[in-house]
Amino acid sequence: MKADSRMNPLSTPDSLPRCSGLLRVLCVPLVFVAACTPAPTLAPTPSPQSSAPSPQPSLPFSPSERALIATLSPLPPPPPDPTNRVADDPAAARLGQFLFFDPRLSRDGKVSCASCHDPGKQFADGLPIPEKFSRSLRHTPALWNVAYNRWFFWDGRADTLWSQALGPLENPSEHAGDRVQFAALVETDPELRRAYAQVFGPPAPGSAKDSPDRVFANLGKAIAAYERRLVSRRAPFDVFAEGLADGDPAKLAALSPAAQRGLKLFIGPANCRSCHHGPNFTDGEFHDTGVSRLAPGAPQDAGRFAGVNLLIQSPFNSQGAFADDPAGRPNRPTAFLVNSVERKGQFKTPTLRNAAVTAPYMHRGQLATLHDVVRFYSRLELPPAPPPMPAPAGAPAGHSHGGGQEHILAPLHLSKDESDALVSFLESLTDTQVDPALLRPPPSPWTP
Amino acid sequence: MPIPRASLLALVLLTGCAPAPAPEPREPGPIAAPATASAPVPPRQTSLGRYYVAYTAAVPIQTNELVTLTVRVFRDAALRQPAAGVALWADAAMPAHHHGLSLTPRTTPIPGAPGAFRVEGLLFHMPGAWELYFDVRENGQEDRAKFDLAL
Repeated sequence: MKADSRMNPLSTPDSLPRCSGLLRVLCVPLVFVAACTPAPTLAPTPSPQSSAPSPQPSLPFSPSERALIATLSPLPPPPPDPTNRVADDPAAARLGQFLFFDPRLSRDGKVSCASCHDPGKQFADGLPIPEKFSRSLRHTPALWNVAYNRWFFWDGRADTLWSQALGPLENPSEHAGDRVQFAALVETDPELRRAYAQVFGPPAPGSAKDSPDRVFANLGKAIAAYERRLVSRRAPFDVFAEGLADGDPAKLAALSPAAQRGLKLFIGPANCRSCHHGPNFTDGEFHDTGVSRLAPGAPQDAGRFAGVNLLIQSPFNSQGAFADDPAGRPNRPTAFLVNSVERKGQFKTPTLRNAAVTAPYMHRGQLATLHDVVRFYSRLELPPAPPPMPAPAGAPAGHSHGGGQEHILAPLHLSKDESDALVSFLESLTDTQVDPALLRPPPSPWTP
Repeated sequence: MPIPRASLLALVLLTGCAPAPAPEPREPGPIAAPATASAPVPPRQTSLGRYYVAYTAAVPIQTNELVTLTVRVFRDAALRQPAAGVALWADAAMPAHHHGLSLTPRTTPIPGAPGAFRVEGLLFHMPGAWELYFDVRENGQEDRAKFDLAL
């Protein structure tokens, strides 16, 4: 298309045949018909010798879209955990991995962490709730990227990865064990005793052995050291984001056109980024999406409100004596945590990385597929909400005035194509590559 | 030669067909430069006019990270008279989202610096338009300075 014919539409381009009178009537409009066809942004064509399929064209991304995509990738390595001095100790991780698969850490000798956090099922169990244990439990979260969490459990009742492990170990509905039993096991099993001494050294001065509380906390710290290794940070989306930055067509081909359209929706009109932002796709905080109302018969669940109370009371929280780095206590998030009734019914925003392989979804697994999740946010068809609670007397302006569904949620009314595109994008966040040695118990808990 | 009328008609009909640029996505909001020690945000007067409040951050303010601010309260617009003896409360909210902070910040006076306070424990957990509030209290009365913060 020659520039001069656009600038002067009434002139006939030299490339067109000379038009006789009648045809001249049609020639000029035909120029415009040709101009109406949008020119796609094409990746450079591959060399003829290549037998690889030609790269998919990349949709155009505006500068502001690119800036937003740059906030979603790459995901840096996990942050340190000063409350756990063995968090990055390989010997601790090996002991923790051994314990993770050890059913002796339970009352009946049959339940290990892997019973619900099955490596063959993305360290989850693929069930809405683990009913074989109890109907009161919530959906088993997958363990990918737990090292990045600020709070743990759906209700945030633990504030460190190591203290999270302690909850199920003593929960009567789960492992149903107790710390005295675990401390005795460590003392009497020569393998465990050797590994424990290797990682945690001799007991504190003045004691013959560590107290059951101390052993309990240390077992959690070893398990956490293992779980910190379960990191997912190199999905096709991350490759695509790199391609946007460096223009590499092979990287740009990592996302299908549908997934790219889904990405545009994700960072644009669908507004998923409000809660699922940052390179781990979560704000790490708690919201009420209203999904609890999908199953009115489910047990009442105060969510975050109950979680904060439990966390504040726990001797194993980041403010307590078992958290390493006491000097850092005043600056941990828990030091600023105050409960409020607004937290009722709120549950933690999960990461979206590996969401495609960790169905079902939400705190009781209410939504079976990603399409169901997208449909939920698209339609927001829920039974009527309870009336909002009145503002507490004297509350300064700017505070939220009561519980209830997040105000920013509004039905998206997505078309089928848009919904499918969003699901395609979510599928592009899948990276389950991990050292296969992490998927089974090590031969021994101690490191040679 | 005179422009054929039919061509002109076709031209009028088809100018609407000119290739349009890809539609811009809805802008979720600017990513504003946050206040740092080297680039402080201009001070704001409190709503009842009694004080002028300025804040700085040693590290640029980001979402999802605990933030510490240094806040100074003055009695004059020229920022020469520190407001000794006042108390300060800090808070923030996202008005469009109808919610505040998920953590409660801690405000402590800075020893030896009248009218200066350290605010710790601010966690801006969501991107978007925040309002930052500094309530100055003295003699049983409260006066608020409000700042906009786009993250």
